[in-house]
Amino acid sequence: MDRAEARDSAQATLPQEVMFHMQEIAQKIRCFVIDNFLFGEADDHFSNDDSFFENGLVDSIGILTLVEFVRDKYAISIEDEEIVPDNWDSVSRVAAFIQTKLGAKA
Amino acid sequence: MKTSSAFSSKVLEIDTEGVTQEIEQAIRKIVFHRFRRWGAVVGLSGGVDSSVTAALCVRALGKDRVVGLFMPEDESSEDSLRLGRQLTEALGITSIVEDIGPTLKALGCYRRRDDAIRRVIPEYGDGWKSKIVLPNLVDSAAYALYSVVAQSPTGETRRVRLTAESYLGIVAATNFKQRARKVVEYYHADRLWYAVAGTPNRLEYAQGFFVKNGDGSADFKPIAHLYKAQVFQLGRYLGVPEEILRRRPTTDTYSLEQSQEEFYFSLPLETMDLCLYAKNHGVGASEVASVTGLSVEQVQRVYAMINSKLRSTQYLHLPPQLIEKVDEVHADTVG
Repeated sequence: MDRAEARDSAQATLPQEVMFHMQEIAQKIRCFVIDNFLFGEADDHFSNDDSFFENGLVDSIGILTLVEFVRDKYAISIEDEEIVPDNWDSVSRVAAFIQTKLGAKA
Repeated sequence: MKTSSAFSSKVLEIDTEGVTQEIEQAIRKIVFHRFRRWGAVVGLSGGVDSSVTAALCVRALGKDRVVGLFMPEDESSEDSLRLGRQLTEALGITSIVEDIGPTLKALGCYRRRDDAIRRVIPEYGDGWKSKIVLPNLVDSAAYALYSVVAQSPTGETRRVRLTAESYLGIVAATNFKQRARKVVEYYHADRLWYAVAGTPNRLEYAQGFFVKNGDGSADFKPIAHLYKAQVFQLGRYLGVPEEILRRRPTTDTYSLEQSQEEFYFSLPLETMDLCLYAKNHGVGASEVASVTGLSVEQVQRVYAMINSKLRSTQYLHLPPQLIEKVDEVHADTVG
């Protein structure tokens, strides 16, 4: 099982209150991405599962900015080896990553 | 996209005599006939690209119509000037040394760069040296996030991932170097009624390895269509001094020695050359893997990296964008 599969599997068994929390996180990340990388011009077709990279939404400076936003907003430390597409290439992936980090911190 | 039938390291071999003649004619046409300028100014780094560009200009325009400029600054390698002089002596052209260190100091290049480094390494200061480097982007899926490598006066080395603010601050300050050099090149071009020759090879040009309005600025770029291996072949054919041909390409921009591989391309330039050629000619990843010694997954990552850089550096290639086309200007300049 690779990291993405492990994450998806973990999400599938999350209790309801945690899922709700995750939706909230995803919404915050989505707003950040729309404000900063889509300049507030997102259409309805932008999905939380869309790859940032494949859609040309975010370059490496964008990822750095997003990492710093997440680090400051959720007060979590993020190691270099955690900044990989598996964790950062879509709104859903970022939300799941944050959820995992917050879970580990609790 | 063209398709290649037999891909090997030999695909980059060129008819050096034929290519030289073709470029010579093009330079004459561009400089004398289109620009109506009397010669060319070439900034010389002691590397193979600027050496070949200067040698081609000499063949095209004559040695009395080419001026070589050395523009060292406080952190330049001493080799750059020494090797550059070997070239200008071999070519018999006039050379001028312009020390851009004081200009860079006045602009705050070093101070602003060091301030940006101190955002991630607070103790960074006098006597320290630094460079910025990329992670390995070929062996695993990773983002092109730069780290600063800093060496203290006692020789201790630290590597710290840069924040967006510190990365942009370092690059913006360092870009003063390429832009100051271009200001000097145009000063001499204007006073001599010459054109400025740009020196990028195809890897640099296509992958956006240049500073906009810095080394990316020029009136003509005679080797921008040539892969690095082809520039070396021309260098041998044109008699560029052996030591220049043997020198490993560096950026000569940061105070710690920095290869172009660790700064930008992530692969030895020979391999990057072949990958770019292969991608441009529709060669499959497995064929490239068998020739380069990379795995298929690595070649796929290199292809993705090439696409990513093509996309992210589009801005560097764009001229100032107009809201409406100005027909009377456009009609005169195109063709």
